[in-house]
Amino acid sequence: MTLGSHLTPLARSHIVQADVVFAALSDPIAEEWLKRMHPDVRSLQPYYAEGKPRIKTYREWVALMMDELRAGKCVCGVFYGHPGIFAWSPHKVIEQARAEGFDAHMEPGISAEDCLYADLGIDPGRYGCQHFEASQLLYCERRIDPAGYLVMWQVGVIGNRSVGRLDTGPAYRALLVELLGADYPLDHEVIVYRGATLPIEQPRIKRITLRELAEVPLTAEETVVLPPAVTLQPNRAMLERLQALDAAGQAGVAA
Amino acid sequence: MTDTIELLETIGSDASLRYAPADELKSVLERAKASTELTMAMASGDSTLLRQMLGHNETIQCTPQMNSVPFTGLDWSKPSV
Repeated sequence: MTLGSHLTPLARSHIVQADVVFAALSDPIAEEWLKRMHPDVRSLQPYYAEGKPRIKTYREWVALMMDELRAGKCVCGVFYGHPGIFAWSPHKVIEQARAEGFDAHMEPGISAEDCLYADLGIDPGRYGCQHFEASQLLYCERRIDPAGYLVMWQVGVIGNRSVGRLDTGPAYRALLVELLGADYPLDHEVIVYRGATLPIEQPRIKRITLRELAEVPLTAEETVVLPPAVTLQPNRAMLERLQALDAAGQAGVAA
Repeated sequence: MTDTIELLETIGSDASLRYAPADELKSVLERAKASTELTMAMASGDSTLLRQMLGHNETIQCTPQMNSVPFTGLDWSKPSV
């Protein structure tokens, strides 16, 4: 996530040892840094375009990597954060490579999610944590548990169904606010977060209300977090059954 | 002048520098003869000028994890990707 800080030793070794490196990074400076590790780094950024469906871009990425693989090269794909999180093409190229008999695997990385937990002081294990790509909350009927954390990714481009617009705007976000309003009061705290990509930066953390979420300027790389809105409620029926199991276990021991 | 990318890597990988107070980091950059753009970016928290110095157009989208699972929306006739 952060230049110089979060590249794992093994990932660096893969980069150095590859014949060719493809890169989809979030920061052009990070790309410059990567180019110093290997003489043949090919940016995947130019394949994005305003108005171009993202799936077309991702398929092009897969095709580029597969072409080099079929030519007999050791290919390394470097993707921002963790290559398997909110990332279709790394999974797809591995699937395709293995289907064609090539060895392929994914190394985990430090993701924006990991930085979010550290920077916001959130333990996802404490109250539970749900993650969604924001658009999916509008497209599909999903169950939100307001007793846990809710993390929504790519809110800035919510509703961007196929065409590669890079900012969909307040009207689309207003739908999300309306949907969330069913479970959260409109004055509920919302955290807008962006992790640091350069080590001279600090994470960007803005605290607003849910009501303000539609209108606040949002970039595609900002993540929205809703802290829990209700307290955890005990499941009394299940607790009684657990107690019964405990008692049976103790009785068994005593006997 | 110490190379900007090299300095960024050093700062990013050194625990004493990564979270150093701004005035301390400024001294480190001055001693390393860092570029004006890097020093200004550090002081302001805005890396735009730094990216421009390195020849990168700010209109290019650098969106983290923009390569999300594409969803075909209402096109239920196609299998999900």
